Amino acid sequence: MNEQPRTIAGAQQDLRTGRVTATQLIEESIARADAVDEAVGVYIRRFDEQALAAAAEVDARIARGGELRPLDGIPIGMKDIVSDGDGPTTAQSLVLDPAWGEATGDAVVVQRLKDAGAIITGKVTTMEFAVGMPDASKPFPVPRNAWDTDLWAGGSSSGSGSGVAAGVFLGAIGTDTAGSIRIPAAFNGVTGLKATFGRVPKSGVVPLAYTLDHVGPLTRSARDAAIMLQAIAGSHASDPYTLDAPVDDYEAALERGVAGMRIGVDSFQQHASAGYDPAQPALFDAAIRTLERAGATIVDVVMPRYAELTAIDIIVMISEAYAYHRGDILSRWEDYGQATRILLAGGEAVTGADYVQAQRVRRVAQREADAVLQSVDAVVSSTGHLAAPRIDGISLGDPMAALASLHTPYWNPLGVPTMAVPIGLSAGGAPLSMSISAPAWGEATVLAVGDAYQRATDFHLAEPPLVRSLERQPA
Amino acid sequence: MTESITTPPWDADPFERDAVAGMQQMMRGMAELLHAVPEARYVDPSGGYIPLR
Repeated sequence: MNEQPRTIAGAQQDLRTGRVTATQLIEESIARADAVDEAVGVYIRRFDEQALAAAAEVDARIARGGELRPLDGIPIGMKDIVSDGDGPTTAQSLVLDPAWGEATGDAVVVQRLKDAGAIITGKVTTMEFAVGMPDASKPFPVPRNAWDTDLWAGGSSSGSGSGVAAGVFLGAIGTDTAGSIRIPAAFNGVTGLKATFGRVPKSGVVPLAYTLDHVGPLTRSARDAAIMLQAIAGSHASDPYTLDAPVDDYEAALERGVAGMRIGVDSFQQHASAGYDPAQPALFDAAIRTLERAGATIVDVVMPRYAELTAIDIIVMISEAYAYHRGDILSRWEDYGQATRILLAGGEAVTGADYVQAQRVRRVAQREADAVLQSVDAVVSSTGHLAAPRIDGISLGDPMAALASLHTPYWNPLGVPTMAVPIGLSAGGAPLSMSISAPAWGEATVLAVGDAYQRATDFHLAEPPLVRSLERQPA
Repeated sequence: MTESITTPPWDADPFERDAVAGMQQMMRGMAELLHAVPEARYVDPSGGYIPLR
């Protein structure tokens, strides 16, 4: 068998030229899962049979001379809070009523991916209800980092990040409320895009926080993220939070590059409350220099209201989530994972006035941040200052501690597009990441900056030791 | 009838009672930070709900 493509763009090309078949792509996805899933904890449920059948249909259509759809034959993982008619949805919890998924069928994002030809290979691990922590006492896999299985995969789109990094699938769908696409992307050395709030429909997705949730792709590259976003972006009547903003041609926008762009930089190092990895400052600085060599003008900026926006994200997230879970929390406390229930119980302390005040300060912060974002084309910041923590160091009684020195919650209340891209390895050999942000509806700019960086670097193509060891084994 | 909490389930275990107390204290601290933002005094809330189509 030919060497398998490692990106969506590469797979598209190989399918068109006949270098690879859809069946081969899915067979490789299945073989990779067989080899690594027990160690990494990517899947809650695999759709092997459906995926192979879908791949056979694609190959038959190609043989008849039919047109290829944008994502035909591409294996995609689906976070298990997103409903898919091909199997149950659990939200990695004993609490979610299976009837909800059965009644919902395909979420809009799932239907759009299938319409584009994508093959959903299974439901992948998440933090419980997108907010808990790895909990070995519950009957679900513990999500581990593809680079070092003693480390956490990050979350809440854990399996989405580790699965792409381990080559189990070429792309995945995650959701992001305080960083849940960008954290697993950062910790696993892949690319993760949280688009503008309302860009991608949330209907058919178990909510964590109604005014903060975003649905988006995790992929190897910005180019692949552009391809996936193209398939899923756009308003939908079922989701009142979506807006009728025009959908750009994201792949075409990549050709723009960064020449002539003004890129603002705020490292957020002064906000790294739990410290920073020794390798991080130099890697971040090197990334900025790469963009400068690619033609961007670099300017220092100060993103405003860091403490307030972080507080807004937590207050709004926990209180909106508590509204959703209150009845079950009170009646089924033990069925929730310990970290999940402790986090959600925090919502009992938030008053109505607290919530309204958070949403008022949110508007103040949105205006102030927008003034900075509009003064440049994009802003680059650190996704976090530390690599993934050890799983055995996570305390279920203090779940927020695992998010130390992560800056992702800052961006959710702003609703602007933000994408995490890998920038190299920490002193301990685990991935580190930077974030690229732009004003609302600026996905094309964010993707262009990420793509320009990735044309000049290869961190996004690096393979974890676990995968390299597979490839060294004799057939 | 509105459900009320007489004895919250997290009170049953001292470790969890303390953990929840810590979480709630953190939430109250964050709320106080936000109540201290004078620029928000006459501003309408963001987020929230979109009118039904």
